[in-house]
Amino acid sequence: MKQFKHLNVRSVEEASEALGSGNAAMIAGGTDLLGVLKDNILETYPEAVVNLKSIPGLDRIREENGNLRIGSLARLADIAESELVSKKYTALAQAAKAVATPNIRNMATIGGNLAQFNRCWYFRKSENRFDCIRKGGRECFAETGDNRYHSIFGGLRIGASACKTECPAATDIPDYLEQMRGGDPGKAAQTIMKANPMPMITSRICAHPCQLGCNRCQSDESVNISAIERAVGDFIMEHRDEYYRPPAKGTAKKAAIVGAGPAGLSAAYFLRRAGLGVTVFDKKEEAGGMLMYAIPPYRLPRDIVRGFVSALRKMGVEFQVNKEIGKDILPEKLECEYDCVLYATGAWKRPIVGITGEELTVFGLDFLMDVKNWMKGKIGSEVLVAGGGNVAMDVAVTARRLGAGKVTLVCLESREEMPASPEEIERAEDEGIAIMPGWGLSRVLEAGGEIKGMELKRCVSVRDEEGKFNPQYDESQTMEMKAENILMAVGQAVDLSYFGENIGLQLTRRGLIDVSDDTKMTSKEGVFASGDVTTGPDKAIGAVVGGRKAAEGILRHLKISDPKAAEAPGESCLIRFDPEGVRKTEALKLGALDGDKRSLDLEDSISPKMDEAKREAARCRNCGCYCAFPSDIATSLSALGADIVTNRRTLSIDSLYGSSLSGSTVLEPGEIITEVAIPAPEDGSHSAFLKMAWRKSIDFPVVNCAVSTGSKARVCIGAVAPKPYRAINAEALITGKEISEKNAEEAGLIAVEGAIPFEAARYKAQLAKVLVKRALLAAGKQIAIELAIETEAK
Amino acid sequence: MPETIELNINGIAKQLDAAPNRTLHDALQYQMGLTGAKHMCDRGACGSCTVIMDGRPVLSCSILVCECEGKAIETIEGIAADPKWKPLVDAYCKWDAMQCGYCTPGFLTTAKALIDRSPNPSEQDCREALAGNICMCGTYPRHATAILEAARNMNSEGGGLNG
Amino acid sequence: MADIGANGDRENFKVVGGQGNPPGVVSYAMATGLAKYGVDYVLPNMLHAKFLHSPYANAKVAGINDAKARALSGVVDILTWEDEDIRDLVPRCFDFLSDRPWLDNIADRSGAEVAAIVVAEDEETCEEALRLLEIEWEMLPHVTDLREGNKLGAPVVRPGEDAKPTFWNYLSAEGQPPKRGNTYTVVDIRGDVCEAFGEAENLIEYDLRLPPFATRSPNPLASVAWWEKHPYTGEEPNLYIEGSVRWRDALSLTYKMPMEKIYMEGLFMGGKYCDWSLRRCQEVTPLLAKRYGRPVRCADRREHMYDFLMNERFIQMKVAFTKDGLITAIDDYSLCDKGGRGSAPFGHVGDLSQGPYKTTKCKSVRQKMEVVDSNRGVMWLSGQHCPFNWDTITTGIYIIAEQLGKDPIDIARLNLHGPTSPDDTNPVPSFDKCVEAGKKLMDWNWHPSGAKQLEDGRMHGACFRYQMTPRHSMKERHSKLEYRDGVVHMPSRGPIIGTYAVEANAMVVAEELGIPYEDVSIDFDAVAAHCIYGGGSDGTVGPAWAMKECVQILKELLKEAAIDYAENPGKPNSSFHNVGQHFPTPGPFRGCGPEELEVADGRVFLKSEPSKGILISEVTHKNIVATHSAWPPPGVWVTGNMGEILDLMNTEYCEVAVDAETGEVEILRFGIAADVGKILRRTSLESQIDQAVFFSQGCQQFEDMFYDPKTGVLLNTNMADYKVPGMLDVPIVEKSILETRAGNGVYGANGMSHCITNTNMLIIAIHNAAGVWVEPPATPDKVLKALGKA
Repeated sequence: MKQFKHLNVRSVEEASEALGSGNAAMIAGGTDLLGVLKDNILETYPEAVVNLKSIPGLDRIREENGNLRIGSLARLADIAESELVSKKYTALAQAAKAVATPNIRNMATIGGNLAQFNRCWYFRKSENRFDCIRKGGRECFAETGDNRYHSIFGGLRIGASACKTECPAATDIPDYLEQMRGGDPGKAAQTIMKANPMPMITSRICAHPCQLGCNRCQSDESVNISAIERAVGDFIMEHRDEYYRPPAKGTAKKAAIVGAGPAGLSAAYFLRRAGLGVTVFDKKEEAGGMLMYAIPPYRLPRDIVRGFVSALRKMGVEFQVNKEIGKDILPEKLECEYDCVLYATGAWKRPIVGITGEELTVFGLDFLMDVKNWMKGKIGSEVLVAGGGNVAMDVAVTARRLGAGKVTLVCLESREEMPASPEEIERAEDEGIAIMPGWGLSRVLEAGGEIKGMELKRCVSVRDEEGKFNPQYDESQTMEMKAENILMAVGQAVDLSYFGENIGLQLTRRGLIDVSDDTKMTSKEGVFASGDVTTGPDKAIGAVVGGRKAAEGILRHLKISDPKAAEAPGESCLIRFDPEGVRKTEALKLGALDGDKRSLDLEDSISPKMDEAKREAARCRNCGCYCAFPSDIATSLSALGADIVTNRRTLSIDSLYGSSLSGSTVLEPGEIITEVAIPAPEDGSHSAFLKMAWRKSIDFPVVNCAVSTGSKARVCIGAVAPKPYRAINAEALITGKEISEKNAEEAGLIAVEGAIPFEAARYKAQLAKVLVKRALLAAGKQIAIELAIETEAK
Repeated sequence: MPETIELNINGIAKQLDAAPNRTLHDALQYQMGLTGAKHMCDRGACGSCTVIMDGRPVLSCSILVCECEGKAIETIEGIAADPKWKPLVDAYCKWDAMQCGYCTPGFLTTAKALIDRSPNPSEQDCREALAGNICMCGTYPRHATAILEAARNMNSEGGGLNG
Repeated sequence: MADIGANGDRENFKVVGGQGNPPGVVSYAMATGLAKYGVDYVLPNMLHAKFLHSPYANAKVAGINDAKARALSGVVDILTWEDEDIRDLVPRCFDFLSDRPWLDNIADRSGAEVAAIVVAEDEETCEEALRLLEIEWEMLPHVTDLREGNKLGAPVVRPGEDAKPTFWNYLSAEGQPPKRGNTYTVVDIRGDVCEAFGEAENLIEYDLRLPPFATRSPNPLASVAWWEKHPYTGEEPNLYIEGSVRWRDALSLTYKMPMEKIYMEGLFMGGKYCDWSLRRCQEVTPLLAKRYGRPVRCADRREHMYDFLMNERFIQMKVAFTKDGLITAIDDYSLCDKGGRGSAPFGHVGDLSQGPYKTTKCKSVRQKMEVVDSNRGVMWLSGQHCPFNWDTITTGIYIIAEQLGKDPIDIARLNLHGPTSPDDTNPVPSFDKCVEAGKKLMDWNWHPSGAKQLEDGRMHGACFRYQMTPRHSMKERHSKLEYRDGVVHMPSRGPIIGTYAVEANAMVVAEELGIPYEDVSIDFDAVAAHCIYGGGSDGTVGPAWAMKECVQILKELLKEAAIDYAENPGKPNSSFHNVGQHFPTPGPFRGCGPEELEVADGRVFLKSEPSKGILISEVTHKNIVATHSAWPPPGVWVTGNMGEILDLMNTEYCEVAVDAETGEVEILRFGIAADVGKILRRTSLESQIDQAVFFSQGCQQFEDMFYDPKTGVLLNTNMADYKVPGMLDVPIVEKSILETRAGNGVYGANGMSHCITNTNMLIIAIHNAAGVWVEPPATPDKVLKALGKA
């Protein structure tokens, strides 16, 4: 064992203070903690160990107002031998006697037993050999490893999954994948729309960083999250009336949104959902912004954007298109007429690169917006595209599909650094576009005002040590590329000219509107901004998030609560995955049009069918901890409906277990279990506990079960989940009933209905089934004995 | 930093520098030269390091020595030195309730605590009391025989345990 | 075929085999904690050493940066495999363990000692220093699943290595196929197997898994060494080493130190059953102690002690038999774990020649074994080789019996050849006696599979097996007895493993001389030549035979001394030098020849007039030394020509109850009806039987080794997860011990603990109960799976 400080404390307060003040562990019986310290398996080794045994009076077992109260330091041997406990709280006495070994029961305390670390052998392997999710790692090794003793009812989410963390919108990806596996795309849709109102769009164009975060990448291929999102998005479009309903109750407040791009539309959705009157202004003919004008239809069909906009319209969002702010309406007027205004005007302006002959080149965005004008062979036979992002890919592919004979793409970045998503690069290459990474633009080669080509220079690095864009060139290395057209897709700038000369808003050093990161409010009260106008050119999903955050900021500013957003995320339920599905190593590949059928207007890829999406969702491991919490005591206390008293609160035994890192309980630093309070069983109610382990002593349970009968009947199964598992449906079946062979058997059957065990742990469901039955019969038998004694007495 | 504590081992007071991370078992072995409590699993699973503390058999590998101040600790050495317990040691030797002998002190200490609490144990009592002691040589069937005989002999000798 | 030495046919035993034998000589020390094992030794000024253990199943250490570890206060030194002294160290314990450097940078199992040793002032500092080592690991693919490792295209875990597995001279490498991938193939064929199968009347095929189980040392293996100059002569220092287990001679070779300059006074080595090797922690301490001039202790952690006592093996059997149940052809194919580098071949090819088939009338036998290199662990001297081989035939006999609706005992009897040779058709008397006793012991009432339900609803099943007594107690050939001041001393060297071997030898001495056992003084002497091999009860009877011969020599010397003393009696003079020296009264042997005397019943007397004689303690005032240095005749230590001769047999019975709802299997009782030839020390024998049953139960019911498939890391390396049975788990073991005196060992005895161990009796009994085959260990999950309930 490594060194630590040891503190004997005299009171709970003193202990709490010692524990709260830093990295400290508490020691009661010590039987669990010392092993954990010897094996050095915690994320951080405690600096101090606080001895609770020096606090007087915490080991009492007594009855108070008819309830049993057991101090947290009461030893298991004493509980097992207590006549009071054995008689009235039989399940607890039986559980206490079933723990570990006699000599351990002489040391181990009830509080320590409840708060023990789990027994998963991956978690326990010494020196932190497996950096599992309980320790802040990213993986539950049991999911794909040897899990014969692990959970059969699911896992516990520990912290946020990497996919969710990586998603700019923080979409609850694991949740909606679980809902997909559960065969409920409707629920999945709701989950996604909490974060993102347009999955049918983002699924098609997002670079999906979520997939880079997927833990499957460590062994095979990421779950194809975007494909699943797309199926859900299509599902939403099919049922759009249901998902874009006008708010049940409106408010008198009104918001104006300038710009109908992804940021504006996102904000419009969230604000309208909360009941605001929302008007969206856009200077173009159709709403959608970049979605409508810049992204080629073969990637994002226009009808999808139109469908989304029309759904918003049905929801009650007003669209004023062909309205240019600053020209048709002045910003001041908007700000005056509306309770708040959101500027989401994007980044549409051509930046100046500063090379000779630049004026002869074409701005990529203009090219994309104006594709129709290029239809008639204007594109020429040799085209050079400059840029390495998705826009550049779009430009290049579009040029190619317009009939350009040879399209070459040059970018500063090396192949690995290119900002475009891998799929887009792949698409470009598939279409025969030559990609030349690591080259910068030197000057346009011209003859009489006509483009002949471009001189390139070698780019040796793009960013400086601090990560700032600061390209360095090797001027000695140049080359000439022939081209008839040069399309510049090297970024877009923000245009704030609509504000006139006096913008009246604080700007950033880069000339963007400065907003609070949290609320998206500008320096002017009630005026908000989000999307590219605040960030510069970014991914569409970034704008969607910006729009959502702005909506939240506006609602907060207007003191309006969104009843939908306030919906509780549901009590910390157990998470599941599909043990069969996770074995599939290959990800779902989207169907695609054959090369010769591809065009500018038809979508290249084909949406997955719903069942394909479900199957892909089954590949998600649903990262969490899938251990089996091994306490015998907790199971019995759950069946007895016990409360756990800490120095700060009283909570039910069932809510004691959650997802804290390393530990097993939801207790906060400095929070100490001081007592266990068990309500007296009603007359005629009995309880029983049974344990199944390979050996009759020494072992932790493979499955245990405790039941109590009567009008508040409870059935709890242990060692089958990361926390004690209440079989609610079995409880309903036996509540208030006399126990018979028949209902006991039935209770066992339905108790395990929800189990989806690992293949190697399937036997646990059978054991749980039998233990529920036998425990009920044992409890029932006690009633019979009692009745017999009573009758005899009469 | 080590703190000087006073331990009561086999009825004798002993002063000891107790480093906070030192287990009772390590202190017995390294600081007091008492190697009767054996190191087997070192994780509280095998019973070989059993000592008796305030009358209860407990596992010295899973107790910090700095938490033992003021406790009465009995080790196998104390039991062996007490003539009162000779019948138990004799019975263990007579019935060969050992082979390699490594776990035997842990068994015997647990058995002593059993007889302390119930001077007339049943065979099932013996088996249950020793349920947490692991013997790698499989001598289990021999222990109850030895303990029952010892209990009988002790009860018949000079008025039994209290005599 | 009884004991062919002196007095092998002795009757009227007074000491040997009696009821209620006296306690073992060191029992008191063990019971009271006085006994010290390697890990217990604490010396003043002692340093601690620890190995780096691999976190990977197969990896190379490409480099180590030890700067941070060295900077830690309390760290004395860090040695790597490149250290010159370490490179010069040659492991000498067993020749097959020396195919690699003593320590190198290759870790071919998780937990392997690899690349570095840290030396520090205390254990915690060692551990912290190990954490601080910055190691560049080069990870390699691993094999922890034998069936995967045997496939074409599996990663080859020891490329370039082509050492063929041989088992000394029992089975040579000649004529065997070359190595392919991870796999060596060994084939042994007797008779015309193809033809025999072609003529088969009935054919059965069945699979077995022999589960692996871990080595059986309760004490963490450890040693402490120091060097001390001779206090008077100032000569080159002697080596003191404690806890080094058995092989002082190996240390003597490794450290080039004469045996008499190596002192190991501790007697106790703990339970090391069929695992006789030295661990690295026990080999390195002398080197370190010399280097730092201080005592050094090096101990393993429990976690590092899950080496193999038995290799895993998957067997596929094909057996042909007649309509009566007579086996006519056997095809035995098995896939066997070769383990990590340096593992012993006992568990695999060493078994082939010792199989059970030679006890049957069947003469067409093909045995093929594929031995797969793996990263599962080190199979030290993985033993238990003979008995576990028996599972193949035990299972076959059971299946034949089931098919023919007969009692497996009858099928076994039908198939056994006669006692003298494979062509002998007579019944085997020892077998028949065992069966008779066994049936009585167990109220044997055979029923077909699934036919019996107990009152509580559980299914009842039973199993029977037989085996011959294998023996390999060939080691000890030096015995010595000393007569000193009227007392007979039996000097013997430690360490010892338990309470049976030394005692049984002393009992033979007492028996031969006719004196009480307590009157033989067992002198533990670190440099004595005599040392009981101690391979279970089997290892006791070989040395005991040699000891019996030694007593004969002592007897002759006693006769001569008695005559000499009668003729030249010692005489006390007034010199104070003789104070306290006892001068016995001379016996009436003046003028006699030794042939006229007899030594018996604790006396030396005249054959012609037995009343004329003296007590042995009164023979002379001189010291007498008798030594006997010769191998016992082969019959004592070579198993009846590997089964061609059937002298001592044993039978085992097992009854189980299977709960079909939970998959729980309870062993209702275990029965042993065994012919041991002659009981030597009764409680020792009983303990050995209990232990053999305990081993069998462990690997059939609970014990297994689990690997993480992705990393190859052994997962269950603590005593909660590696499940050795406890007090409440072990069954009642009923014993009926027969003494036909038919063995070759002392008084017709032979050891027999080995042959009771088995891996498949429980499995067969479960099949007899529930009609399903379960792969051992039969934990409830597997039983439920077999029953289609999981």
